[in-house]
Amino acid sequence: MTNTIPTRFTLMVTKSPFDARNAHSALSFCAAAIEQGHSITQVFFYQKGVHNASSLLQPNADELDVYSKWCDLAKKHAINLNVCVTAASRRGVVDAQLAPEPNYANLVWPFTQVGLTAYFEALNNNSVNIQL
Amino acid sequence: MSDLPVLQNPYIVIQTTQAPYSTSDATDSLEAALAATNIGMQVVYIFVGDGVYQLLKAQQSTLISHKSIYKKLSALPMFDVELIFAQTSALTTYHISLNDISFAVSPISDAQLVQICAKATQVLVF
Repeated sequence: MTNTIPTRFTLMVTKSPFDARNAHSALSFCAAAIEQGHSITQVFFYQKGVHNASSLLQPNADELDVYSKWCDLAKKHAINLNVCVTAASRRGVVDAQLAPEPNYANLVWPFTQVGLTAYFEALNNNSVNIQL
Repeated sequence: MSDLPVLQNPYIVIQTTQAPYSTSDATDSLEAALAATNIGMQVVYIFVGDGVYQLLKAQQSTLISHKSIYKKLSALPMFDVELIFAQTSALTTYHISLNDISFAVSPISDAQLVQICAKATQVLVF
């Protein structure tokens, strides 16, 4: 561990997991930040980034299972995985409340649907923003 | 180069860099700005690069079954987004004039853009 002042980071992920490397970079950033004693206030999924939250993702065997990585990270380090409800519902990523039937929900804990204001409230709380 | 506007209170910058309809970025940046002002943050909204195409008043978005981004943008001041700028170099490149625009947008140089972003608490780019 290095001798740095602990920083609180808020990440905004805006690209889908298999169209860009943004999610990979975000996961690597989180791991490195935690390793160095910093904390992640929340990871906020916006725009196409909401696809990271879909429990129906089925990557090929030789690809990184981004969804599982996010879940592991959240459970191990109690990180909030917040998904913009408007951006997600537009793209068919919905929790049990928004799904036409509860069984169709593909957004489940540790991901949570929130409004965009939740992201800005975290920024207001002296978090350093990283947009990916 | 004209003086920078006085920005005394902490503010965030939202740069909107894409043309209005080829991606959802223009809509998404607008929604982000409204969410930020909704919790009392001061937002500086800047049209950069291809984003200045959003300022074309004559856009006929109904032809592609889309609501007009321009009309939504013109409501920004009503939602407390009043510090609105456009990158002069992009306006020049794309021959876009601010004269016809129905809401206040101030041109800024690239150097001013950098200064505004440097003093912001956060910068988001869409």
